[in-house]
Formats: sequence, structure tokens, C-alpha cells
Amino acid sequence: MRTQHRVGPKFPSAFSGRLFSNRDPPNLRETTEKDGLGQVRMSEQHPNPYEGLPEEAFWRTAVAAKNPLEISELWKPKFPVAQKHRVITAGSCFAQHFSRALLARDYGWSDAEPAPKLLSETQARDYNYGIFSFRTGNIYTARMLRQWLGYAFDEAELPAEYWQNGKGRVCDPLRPAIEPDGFVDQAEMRASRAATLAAIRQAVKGANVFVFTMGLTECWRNRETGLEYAMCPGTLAGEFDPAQHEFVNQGFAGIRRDMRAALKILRRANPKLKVLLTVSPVPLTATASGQHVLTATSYSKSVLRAVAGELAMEYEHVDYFPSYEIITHPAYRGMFYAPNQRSVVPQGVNHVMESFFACQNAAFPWLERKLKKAGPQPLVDKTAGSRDRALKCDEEFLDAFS
Amino acid sequence: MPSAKSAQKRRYRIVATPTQRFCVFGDSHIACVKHAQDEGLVQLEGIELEFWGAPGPQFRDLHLQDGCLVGSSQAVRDSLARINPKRSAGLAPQEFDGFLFIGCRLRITEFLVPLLQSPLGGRGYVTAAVRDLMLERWLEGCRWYRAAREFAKERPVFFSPAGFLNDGILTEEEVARSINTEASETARTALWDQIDAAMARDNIRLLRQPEETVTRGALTARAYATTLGGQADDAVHKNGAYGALILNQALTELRGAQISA
Repeated sequence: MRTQHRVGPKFPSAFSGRLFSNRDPPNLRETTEKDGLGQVRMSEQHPNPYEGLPEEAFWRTAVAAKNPLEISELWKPKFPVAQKHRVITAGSCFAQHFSRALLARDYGWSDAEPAPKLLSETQARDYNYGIFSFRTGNIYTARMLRQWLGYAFDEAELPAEYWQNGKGRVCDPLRPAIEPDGFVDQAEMRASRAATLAAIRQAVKGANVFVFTMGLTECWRNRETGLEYAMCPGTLAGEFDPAQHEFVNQGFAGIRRDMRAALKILRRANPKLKVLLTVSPVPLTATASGQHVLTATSYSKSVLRAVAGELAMEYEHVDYFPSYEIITHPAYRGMFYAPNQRSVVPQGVNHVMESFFACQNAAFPWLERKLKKAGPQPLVDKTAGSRDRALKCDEEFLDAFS
Repeated sequence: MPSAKSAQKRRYRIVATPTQRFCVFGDSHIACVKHAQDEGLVQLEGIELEFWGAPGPQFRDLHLQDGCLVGSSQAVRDSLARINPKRSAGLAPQEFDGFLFIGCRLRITEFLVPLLQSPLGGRGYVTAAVRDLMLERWLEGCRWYRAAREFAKERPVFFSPAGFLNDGILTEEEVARSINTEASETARTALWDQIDAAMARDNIRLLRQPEETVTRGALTARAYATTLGGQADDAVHKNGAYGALILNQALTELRGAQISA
């Protein structure tokens, strides 16, 4: 009779011939068996695949027995993200937390379309500068990412369509909210878009890591041209026309196809670029699917999560970071959501980013060693230039009036 | 000195007197005008010219108080005593028939240069709405521009912002990074027009950097750079020839305004 083995790292069977622990190598193990004569004999057999797995493989030890804030090692990164790396970010709203966290830690986030220095911080934000690495506004869907990259790298023809807002100003259907009051005319809209496309090219070609946060499956498209809009016509600008505009709730296959196409463009532009996918944990504001917004959110996020996971398995240079799980999973008991159950509170964002860096350091210990070795960065004396200028001014002045 | 309130109530009127009293006010950039005067390059017939200002860090100690510019530190008062002993206590708009504000920490390198570097559809291109915000912040952010606006309520005020950096000082790498050496006169004119219109709303007459002094898109030709220190490392200050172009333009317009008045 074969002895029963309970699986689990810290709960080895008391009935087995010996105590197993998760430190036992996952190879053939000795087990005790009785033959037909009742003689106990040692034999070799294949252990079941769960034996010897690490702690994080078991719910009880990795999740149930832990304080949610102590759940760790959620991610085994494929590639390091070091301070020296140039990281670019795009996607849905949640992507901007990445750039802020990277900047706060002195990491190299690239802003390829920075705000003019003369703008105040508020003005810059109002005009959507410094939110993502280029001024695309939110890129919620895989198709939108594919469109932007296609336009930037001349793989698709730029759309001729434009919208008008209530003030008679022109809006870009690819990013209708980018200028608070819209553009003066079509020429300005196109010039501004061309600047953004140039920024995308520069950012992609010069980056080491592209972080893309997938946001939505629901979108609106032009029935005739297939152009996907950043938002539904008629909401912020343009006019909704059911004969011209169609609602699309993208499925797994379509999103995977668009993402693969986007990854292909990125690879061609920069063969060394790594891609880190995340899924936004922010629920839908509204759904046009006819479903309840809660189940529509569940569908949308599940599909995006599945595509991200599949791409990460399929491509060596693509990885998935589980910020979505950290915020949304029942293990965290909704603690990272604001009372509206939609907005993510700063503590949640902070925990996500702490997890990101902890997992990076665990997988690549040299990252932390390097940081410690570098120590506190020496403060650059930014006043030296102005001191020199002041001296020169004095000289000039004294010379003229001496 | 009159209070700011009473000054605001009055509109300035150019008095047709045989001699016009004209004041050049600024930071170290007034030196180029003084050089121009010393070199006999300016037409001063009928003009009684005075200077008022302070160099570098002391310039920051000049403040507008009750409609007049006054120095708030001993260092700046010492500078004022050296440049204009009879007016070291302060400068009131009523004391002159016109003013030239030159330099005064309003640098065209902060407004024109980045915009010239980002032409229509190019990287860094900004929309008209953003340009408007930039211009407003550029002007409003300069304390001495705000002072010029107050003076302009009383007397004609000309404003000549600090010009393009001098050619030959920046390394070619720096030039490639920060200057559009292909910027055209048309592009410069469009931006000057925008500044001109904004200043006109404040009753201030903009004096553009003369085109003949501009080289390589957005730099000042070496012929107009300061000669102090052999031009080795001063990218900012200009010489008497430059000062003459600015002052002569201001005085020509002042005389024209007087005739038309």
C-alpha cells in the first residue's frame, strides 16, 4: 500500500518514511512500501509535481497565512530595470504612476516631449505634458497603441478625420483632450500630432524598457475607415453618428493580434527594447456593452490580463508585472481603493511600486548592491553658473561706468 | 514723489520741449548703450541722456515702490550713486520724457530660442495656446517688465530684452543641442510680432533685436558682442555698435512720437 503524501512545503507527511521538506531536491525520492508478503521495502518512484515547490506556490503559506502587505515575490522579472536604463511609459491612467515612482527614485524615465520651461507645473499638466513619455494622452487599448506606433513609424497612413468642439476649435480624434481648448485649425492639429509622432520615434529608439499599461477592451471606431478613437465621438468633441460610429468590445484574439503587431513595430524600431506590460486596476467609468458596469469591468480586465500573460509567455523580451493583482485581488480586501471603489489611493500605488522594486532587487541582487555602492548622489552645485554670470555682469558694468 | 494711485489716474503726455530727457534703465546690459554714447555712435541732438540701474545681483535689489524704482540695499545704492549720483534715491517716471528698459532679466533666449528650435510639426512644436501661456509667463515673471508697465502709464517706455547669445562662445555641441541655426527671419519675425502685440497691450514699445545683428538663426553676430575680456567667454553682453542700434531706434521713435503729438 502506498503511503499518502500531503503536499506542501512546511507540512510534510508524518506518515511518510521520512520527513520531506521543500528543500529536498525535486528528483526521485525514496518512499516506503509494503510488498505482498508484508515486507517493507524501499523503492524509487516519481514524486508528484507539487512536492518541493517553494512557499509562494501554496496559497496557505503564500497568501492565507500572511498579512496582505507582507505578500511578497509576486513577480519574477525577466529582465532588470536599472537606474541607468531609459524607461518610457504609455497606456491608461495608471501608467503615469510608474513614471512618477521612477523619477522619485532617480531612475531614468524618458520624457521625449517635455513641457516648455516657461510653463508652470499646473499649465504643463493641463496641456498633458510630462504625464506619459510622449503627448499621446491615454492609450487605453491595444488597437490605439498599434495605431500610434504605425503612424510614428510610417507603417500606417495618418487619418484625415478631425473633430470640432463646442467652441468651433479643432480636436484630434486620437487625443481629443490633449489641448484643453482644442487646436486653432487642422494645420495646427497636424503639426502638433507630427511633433508627438517624432517624440514617439525618438523615445522608442532610445529606450531600454517600454512600460505599457493596458486599460480597456471597449472602444469606438469609424465604421468606414476603421480608425479607433480615444473616446466616443460626441462626448468631449465631435458629433456622434450611429451610421458612422460603432461600438466595439474587443476580444482576446483581436487584442492579441493588435498587441503582436505593436510589438513587431517596436522590435523593428529598437531590437533591444524590453516591454513590460501591466493591466490597469481602475474599473470602467461606464460601459456601452449593455452589461452591468461591474461585470463589464470584469470581462475587460480579464481579457487584458489574459493577453498580457500570454504575450509574456510567448515573447522573451516581454514581461508582465502584476500591479493589477496587487490592487484588485480579494487577498488585499479592497484596501487600496478609495470609497468610490474605483480610484486607487496613493498607498496602493506606493505598495505597487515598492513591490516592483523589491521583486527587481530579489531577482537581480546586483541592482541593490549598485545602488548602495553609489551611495547618496553628490549634490551638483547649480549656483556656480549664476555666480559666474554675476561676476561677468559686474565686470561689464564697472567697465562702462568707470 | 507721487503715489501710485495718483500716477495711475494720469495719462502720460509728451511735452514738446527743446530738450528731451531720456533715461536708459537696466542691468549690466545698459553698458552697451553707454559704450555707444562714449564711442559717439548715437544721435543725441535734443536729448539729455541719463542712465539708471545696477549690475547683476544688485539689480535684484531694485523694487517698485509707490510707482518709483528704489534700491533696497546699500550695495545697490552704491551702484546707483556711481552711475547717476543725482538720482541715487530713486527713479520716478515723471522725471523723464521717455525710458528705455534694456536687458532687465527679460531674456529672449528663454522665449524665442526654444520656439525657434521647434518649428511647425518638428519636435518640440507647441501650439499657439501654449505659446500664449509661455509669453504671458515670460513677461509676467519678470519683475522689471511689470515695473516697465507701471512706468508706461506715465511716460513712453521702450523695452529691449536681452538679445540672443553671442556667436562663438558656446561649443558647437551646445549650439547643435540648443539653437536652431536654420531659423529664418520669417520665423523670428512671427515671434517678435507676438511679443510686440503683448507689449503693446501694456502700452510698451518693443525694440526687437535688429536683424543685422542676428546670425545662424538665433545667435548674435560676433561684430556686436562685447569686447571686454576679448570676447573669450561672455555669451551675453553686447558692444557699443549694438547699443547704438537700440538707442537710436528708441530715440527716433520718441522724436516721431513727439512730432505726432
